[in-house]
Amino acid sequence: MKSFIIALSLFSGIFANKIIHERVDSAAFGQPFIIDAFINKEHGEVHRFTLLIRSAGNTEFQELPLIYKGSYRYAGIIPGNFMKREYLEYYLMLELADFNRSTFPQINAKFNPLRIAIISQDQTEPETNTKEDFDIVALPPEAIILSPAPGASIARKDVFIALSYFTLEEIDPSKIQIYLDDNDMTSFAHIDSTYLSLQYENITPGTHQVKVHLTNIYGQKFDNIQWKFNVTPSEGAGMGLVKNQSRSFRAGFQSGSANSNTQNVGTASLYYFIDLEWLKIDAQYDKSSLENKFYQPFDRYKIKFASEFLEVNFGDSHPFFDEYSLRGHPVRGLHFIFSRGPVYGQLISGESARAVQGDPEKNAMVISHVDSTTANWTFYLSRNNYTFKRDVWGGNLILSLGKKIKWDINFLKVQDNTPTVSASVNNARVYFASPLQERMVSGSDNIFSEDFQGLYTTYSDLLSEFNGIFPDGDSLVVLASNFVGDKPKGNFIWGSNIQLGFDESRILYTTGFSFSMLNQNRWNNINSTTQLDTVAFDSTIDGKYLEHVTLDSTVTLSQYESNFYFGSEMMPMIPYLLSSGPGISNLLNSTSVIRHSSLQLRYLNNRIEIGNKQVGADYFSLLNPGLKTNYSESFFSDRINLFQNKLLLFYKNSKITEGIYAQISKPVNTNTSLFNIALFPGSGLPSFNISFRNSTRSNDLKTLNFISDSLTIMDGITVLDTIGIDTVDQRVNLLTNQFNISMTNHFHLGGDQVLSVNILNYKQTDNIGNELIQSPEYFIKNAESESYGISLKTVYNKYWESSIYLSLSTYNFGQKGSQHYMKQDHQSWTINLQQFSQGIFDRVSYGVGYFTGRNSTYFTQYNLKWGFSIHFLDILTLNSQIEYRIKYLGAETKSVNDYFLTMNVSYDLK
Amino acid sequence: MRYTFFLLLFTLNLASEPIAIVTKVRGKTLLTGTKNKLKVNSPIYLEDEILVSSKSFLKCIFLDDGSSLNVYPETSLQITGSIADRKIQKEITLNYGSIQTQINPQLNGEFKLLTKNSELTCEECAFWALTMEGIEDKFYKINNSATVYNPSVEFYLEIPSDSTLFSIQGKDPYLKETSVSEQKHFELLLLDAEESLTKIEQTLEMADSDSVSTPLENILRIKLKNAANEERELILTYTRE
Repeated sequence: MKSFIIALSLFSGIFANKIIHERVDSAAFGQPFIIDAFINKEHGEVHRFTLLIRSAGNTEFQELPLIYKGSYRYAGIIPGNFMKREYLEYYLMLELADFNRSTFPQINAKFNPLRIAIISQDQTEPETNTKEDFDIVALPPEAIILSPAPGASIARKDVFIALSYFTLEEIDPSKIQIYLDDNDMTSFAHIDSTYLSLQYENITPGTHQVKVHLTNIYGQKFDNIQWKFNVTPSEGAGMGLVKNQSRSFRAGFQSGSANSNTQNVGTASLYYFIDLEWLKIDAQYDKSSLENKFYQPFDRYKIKFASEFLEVNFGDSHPFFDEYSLRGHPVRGLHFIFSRGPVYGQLISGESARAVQGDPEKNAMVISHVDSTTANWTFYLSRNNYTFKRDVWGGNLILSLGKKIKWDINFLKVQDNTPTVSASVNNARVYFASPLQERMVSGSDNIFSEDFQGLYTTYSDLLSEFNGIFPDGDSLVVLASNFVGDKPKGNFIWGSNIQLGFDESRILYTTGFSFSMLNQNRWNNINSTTQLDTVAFDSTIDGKYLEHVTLDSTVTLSQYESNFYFGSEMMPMIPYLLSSGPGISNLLNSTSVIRHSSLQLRYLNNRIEIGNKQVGADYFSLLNPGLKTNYSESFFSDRINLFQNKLLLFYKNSKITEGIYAQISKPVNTNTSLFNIALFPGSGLPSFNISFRNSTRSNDLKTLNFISDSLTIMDGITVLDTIGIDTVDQRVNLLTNQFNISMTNHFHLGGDQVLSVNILNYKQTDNIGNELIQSPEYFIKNAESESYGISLKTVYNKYWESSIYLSLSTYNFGQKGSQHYMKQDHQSWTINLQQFSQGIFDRVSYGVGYFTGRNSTYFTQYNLKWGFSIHFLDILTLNSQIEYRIKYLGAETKSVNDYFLTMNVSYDLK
Repeated sequence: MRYTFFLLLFTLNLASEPIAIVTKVRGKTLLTGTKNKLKVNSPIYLEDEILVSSKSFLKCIFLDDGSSLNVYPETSLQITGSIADRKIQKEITLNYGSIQTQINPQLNGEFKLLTKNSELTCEECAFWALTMEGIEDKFYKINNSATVYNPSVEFYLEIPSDSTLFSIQGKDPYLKETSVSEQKHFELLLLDAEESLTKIEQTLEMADSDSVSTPLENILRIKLKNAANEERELILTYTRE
C-alpha cells in the first residue's frame, strides 16, 4: 500500500490538467494566425480556456477566447494587428469549473511565455525582378485572382489556387512560374493559355503566399502577382448528413522509480467526433493499465450528444452546481444540460462511486466480534474493506429574468446503495487472532494457512468446517448488515441564490444559501420522530430530543423517503424539518446551512466588494467532502486601476472566525490585510509587483488550564505513583507579516532576454512565547523564511533558447535554542536548453539541475533531463522525456537513484 | 460543302475556349450533355449545361472579370453568351433551382439571367435567384442594382434592398419584404456549402506597389457566455482599406 501511495504521488503529475499544444516558431507579418490546443478535460469541466497574447514591447497580456472545436480541440485567432512587431508572445490558460488553473507552458507561463517570431514584410514579400528570365521590366498585369481571394481563410480541403489572364493577349504559358511560399510549384500547376491553377493537397494550415511570374511572347515581364491567404484545418465532407468528423488515438507510457518504488502506467485513448449539424456527437474512451476491480475506475468513457439547446452525456461527466454542493466531482451516468434564452438547467442521474466488493486477500471478511459471555461462544463474521455504489440524482435551474435578476435553485441527493455490497465473499481470507487460535480444537490445523498477517482460512472453508475448528456449541453468525467497514450514507442538499443588478450591473448584490442533511449510517434509519424522543440516556417520552429540542410531532417521515431517509446518526442531529420552530429562521440558523451575501460596486475605476459568509459546522456534501466548515468570514476589498491600467492597486481586509459556536469552543479569529501594487510602466520598462500581507490569528484566551488528578498505582503494597498534573494550553496568538516583490524585464542583449527576479520575506511571531507563563510542553510556533529567485530566459534565434533559474531560500521554525528548533537552507540551480526544428526532431530539450538542502535535513540531488518531439505527416506525434536523478540523502550516504520516463504517441485523423 | 464543314469545325474550335473554371464542388455535379462529372479545375465552356444534384454544390468563376456563380442543390442551368475582344458577354439560363451570383463590372454589355418567366439584367450586381420550373421566380438583391423584366406582361421592376421580387407568368412582378425564414434559407444554403456569409471583394495585390489597397468587409461576431450560461452577442462590421 505504501509503495502504491508513493507511486501514485509520483505520478500525480501525469493526471494533472494537461494542455497539449504544438509551439509555433514563426508567422507571417500582419496576417491573422490560428492557435490550436488540446486538453485532457471534458468541455463541460472547462470554465475558461484562453489565449493570452502580447506584442513585442508590451508588458500586459490581452486575453482572447479559445473556441471549442470538438474532440478536446480548441482554437483561437490572433488578429493580424498583433502580428506587426518583431515577435509576439503568448501562453494558454485553462481554468476548470472547480477553479483549478493550469497553463502552457506549465511553469511560470506569464513570465516565460512562448514566442512567435514575426517574419517581416521584407521577408514575406521579397523584391521582384530576381529572376534572370525576366529581363524587361514591369508591365502592369490585368490578371484576375480567382481563388483563394487575397486574405481569405479557406479550409484545407478547399484550397485551390487559380489565376486568370484571360484578358491578356500573347501570354507565353511556357514562361509562367508559380511559387507557393517561395517553393517553385510550376511543375505541379495546370497552365492553360488563359488561366493557371494549382491543387496542392499537402498544404498545411497557416498563412501562405502565392507568387506568379508572367511574361508575354516578346519576353516582356509583368509585375509579379502575389497574394496571401490562410488555410484552416480541414473539416470533413461538409455536405450531406455528416458535416464534419475527426478521430484520434493517443497512447502514453510512463515509467518511474522513486526510492526503489517502481511503477509503470500505460494509457490509451480513443476519440471520435462527428458533426451532423443538428447534432454533434463526441465519443471518448480512455483505458488505463491501473484499472482494477478492487478500486474505483481509472478507465473513463463518455458519449456526448449536443444540439443547439440540449446536451446529453452518457458516461463520465463532471457537473457543477455551485461551489458548495457539487463542483466537478465525477459522476457516471446521464447528464442533461438545457440552455435556451433565460433558462438554463441541468439534471444528473448516475453514480459517483461503483460498488467494490474488496480484495479477498485483503480482509474483505473479518471476525468483527466474539460473544464469549457464555460457555458457548458466538463468532460474528462481517464484511470489510468494501465500497457501496453511490447513487446520485440532482439538478439545478437558473432563470435570468431580464438583465437585472438572476435566480437559481439546486438540489442534490446522494445515497449509498446498501444491497450492492454482498454479505459474503466466498474466497475471502478470514484471519484469526491469537486468543481465537487458542480456542481451536486440536487437529484442525490442516485447514489453515499462514501469511504475513497471520493464520487464516477462506470463508467457504470456515463455513463448512466451523464445527470441526471450534468446540461443539460455538456458533458462527454472518452479518447481513451493519458491517464493520464504512457505513452507508445518505445526503440531501438544496440551495438557492439570487443576484440583483442595478445601473448597468455596476451594482451587483448576491445572496444565497445551501442546506444539507447527512445520514451517516443508513442501517440505522428511523421511521418516526418518536424514535428520536428516546435515544441514548433520554428514556423519557416528552416530545423532545435529548430532553432539550422540541420535536415536531406532525412530521411524517415517510413523506421524505423519496429523497432522504432519516436516521439516528444525523448531521445535524435534528434537521430543521423535524424540530418545531419558526420556518425560515429555523432554516437559516441551522448548523448545516451555508449562507452568503456580497455587494459589488464598480465606479470611478474602483471595484469595491463587501461580503460575508457563514458555513455551519454540520454542512456536509458527500460530493464535496473537502469543504471547510464551521467558520464565518466577512471581507472588504477594493481594486483600483489607474493611468490606463499602468498602475493597479488592490486592498483586502478580511476577518475569519473558526468555530462559530462560542458555547462549544473558543473561536479563533484571523484578521488579514493584503495590499498589492502592480506597476506596468510601459513598453521597454520593467514591470513590478509588490505585495504586503499582515495577519493576526488569536482566540483571545489569556489563561492556561491546569488539570490535576490523583492516581494510585499499587504494586502489592508499594505505591508507585500518586498525582498527575497536566497543563492544557489552548491559547492562540500569532502575528504574520509577509512581503513579496517581483520584477520582470524584457531586453535585447545577444538575443531576446526575459529577466525575472523574486524576493520573499515571511515572518511569523508566536506571541504566546512572550507571555510570562507557559506550559513546559508548549511549542513556540515562530517561523521565518527568506527566499530569492532569479531566472533568465534567452532566445538566441529561432533554433535555440535557454533558461537559467537560481533560487536560494532559508527557513527556520520554532524558538531558537529549543529542542524542536528547525533550520533549513535550500539552493537550486536549473539550466534548460531547447533546440527547435533540427532534422527529424521538432524539438529537443536538455536540462540539468542541482539541488541542495542543509542543516536540519541534508540532501544533494543532481537532475539530468532529455526530451524530444517528433512529428510525422501532420498526423502522428511522438513526445518523450527522460529524467534521471542522482541523490544523496545524507552527508555520507549515496541513495538510490530515481528515473522517470514519459512517452506519448498521438495519431490524429481529420 | 466540304469547306463548309471545315469552316464549321474551325468555328467550333474557336468557341471551345473556357470561359470559367470550377473552383469548388460538393457532392454530385454534372455537365448535362456529356454526363461528365464536374470537378474542381474543370473548365466551363459557352453553351455548357450544368446539373447540380441534391445535397451538392458548385462554384465557378468567370475568367475575364472574376465574377462568380454559386449553384446550389437541385439546380439546372446553361451558360451562354459570347466572347468579343477578350471580354465575355455572360448569359445564364436558369431552368430550375437556386443560384447566387457576384457579378463584377461587366466589360462587354450587360449580364443576363434568363428564366422561363423572367429576364434579369445588370452591369454589376450580386443577387440570389430561385426558380420553380416556370411556376414562380424569386430574386433577392445582395448588392447593386438589377432589373427584372417579365416578358409575359412586358413589365420592368428593379429589385430593391431587403425585398424579394416575385415574377410569375402573366402577372406583374411584385415585391414583398424578405422574410426571416427566407434569409435563414439563404444562410443555410451557404452553411451547407461551407461558403462564407460575408462578401469579400477581391483586389489584385501588386508586389511592388504600395498604392494598391485591398478593401475587406468583415463581420465579427463575438459570442460571450459566462459560467452561469448568460449569453451576449456582439456584431461588429468594419471595412479595412
